[in-house]
Amino acid sequence: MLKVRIIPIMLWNGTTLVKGNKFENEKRSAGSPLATVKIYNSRDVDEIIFFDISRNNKIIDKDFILSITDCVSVPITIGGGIETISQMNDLFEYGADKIAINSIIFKNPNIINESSKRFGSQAITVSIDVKKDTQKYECYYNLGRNKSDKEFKDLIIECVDRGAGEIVINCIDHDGLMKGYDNELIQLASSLVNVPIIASGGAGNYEHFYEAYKNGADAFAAASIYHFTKHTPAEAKKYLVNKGVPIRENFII
Amino acid sequence: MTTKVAIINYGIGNIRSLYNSLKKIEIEAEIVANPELIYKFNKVFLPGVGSYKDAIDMIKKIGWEKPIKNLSSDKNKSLFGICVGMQILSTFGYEHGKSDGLDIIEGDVERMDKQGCDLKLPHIGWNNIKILNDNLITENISNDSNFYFVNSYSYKLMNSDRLIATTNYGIEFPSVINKQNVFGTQFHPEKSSKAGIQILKNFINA
Repeated sequence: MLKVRIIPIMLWNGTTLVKGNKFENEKRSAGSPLATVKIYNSRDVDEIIFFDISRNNKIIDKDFILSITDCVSVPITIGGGIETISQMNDLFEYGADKIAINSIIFKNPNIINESSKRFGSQAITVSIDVKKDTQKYECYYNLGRNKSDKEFKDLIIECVDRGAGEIVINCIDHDGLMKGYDNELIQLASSLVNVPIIASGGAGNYEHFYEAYKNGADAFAAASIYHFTKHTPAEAKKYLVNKGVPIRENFII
Repeated sequence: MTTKVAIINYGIGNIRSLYNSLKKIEIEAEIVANPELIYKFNKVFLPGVGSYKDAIDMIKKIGWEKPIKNLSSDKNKSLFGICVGMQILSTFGYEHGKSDGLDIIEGDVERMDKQGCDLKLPHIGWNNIKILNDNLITENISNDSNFYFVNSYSYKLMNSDRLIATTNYGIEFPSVINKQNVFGTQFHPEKSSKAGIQILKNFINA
C-alpha cells in the first residue's frame, strides 16, 4: 500500500533558512540549510522540499545545490523562482528529483506541458498559493504578493491537464500559524484532480496531519512545526501509525 | 575478479544520487558515457527516469543496445536496471507509442490504468514490496520494506520465474525482477534511504 508522506519544507532566502506567517515579509531565521537537511536525512523523513525564495537564482548555484542534494538519500523537490527548462535541467543534473514551479505558470502556462513532456509528469510539481477571498479560493503568485485572475478550482484542473504530476497546496491564510491546514481546501483539491496532493501551510501538531489525511491529502508538508517546536517527523509517523494511517516506518536491519 | 562498478550515462536520469548512494557503501562507481568502455566493468547500473520511448531511443542512438545485450549474456557480469532502466529491459513498451525494448527479460511495459489500476497516477511515494522468491538482491530486506516509487507504467512479465517481488497499487505489479545476472527494480534504491542502500549492497556483492 502506498504510504502518505511526511515532508519537511525548507525556505531559503539566500543567506539562511527562514519561516514566517501568512507569506508576510517578516520572517524568523530557521537555521543553516546544510545542518538542517542533514538532520532531516538522518531522521529518515520521506521526502524534502526546498524552496528558494531569494529570487536570486536565475542562474542555478551548482555548488550550493550539490551541497544540499549530496547529503540526501530520500527524494528532494526543489523550487522557487524557476522559469525555464534550462534551470530545471540544471537542477535535475545537480540532484533534484522533482521541480516545483509556481509564478511562471501564470505568465507561461505552457511550461507545464513542456517540462512534463521533457522530464516526465512525475518530476513536475506545481505549487499553488491559495487564499480565501470571501467565498472563493483565489490563487496568488510571486511569493503571495500578486493575485492572479484564476480561481483555484479552474487552475488546479488546468495544471493537471497540462501535465503536472503532483500539486502542493499552500494555504496562505494558514501559513505559519500552526493551527491546522485548510481542510476544506484540501478536500476540494483532492475531489478535483487525480494526482497526489501535498498539503502545506498551517501544521502545528500531529492531529493536523491526520485531519488533512482524512480530507484526502497524500502528503503533509510542514516547516514551523519542525523548526520551532519539539515535534519531529519520526514522532509524527508514530502518531499516524497508531491512527491506522499508512506510513513508512524507518528501516532497521 | 575485482569489482568494477559503472553507471551508464545515456543522458536520461539522475545519476548523481545513485553515485552518492554507492559512495555510502564505499563503492567508487564510474559514470560511463561511452558504450565502447563498458566492457571494462563487471557491475553495471542502467538508471532512468522519464518515458520508455525517450530512454530506449537514447540507448539506441548512442549505441548502447549491443554493449548492454553483450553484458547481459556474460555470466561473469551483472546488470541492474532501475525504474525506466528496468522497464527498457523488456520486449516492448507502450509509452508514447509502441517501441522495441532491449528484450533481455521478456515482457512488456504498459500503463497501470490499462492494467486495471484505478488509483491516482503517477504512483509517487513509498510503497512496500512483497517478496515472493528468495533472491540475492533482496537479502537482509524484510518482507514489506518500503521503497520510493515514481511510475505510471509497470512491467508485465512473460515468465513468472523472473518475479522476485511485487508491489500493490491498484494492481499487483513486479517491483523486483531477475533473470540470471540481470536485475531490475521499479523503485529507486538510490532514493530509498537505508533499505535502498541494502539493495545496492546486495547487487554489488551478488
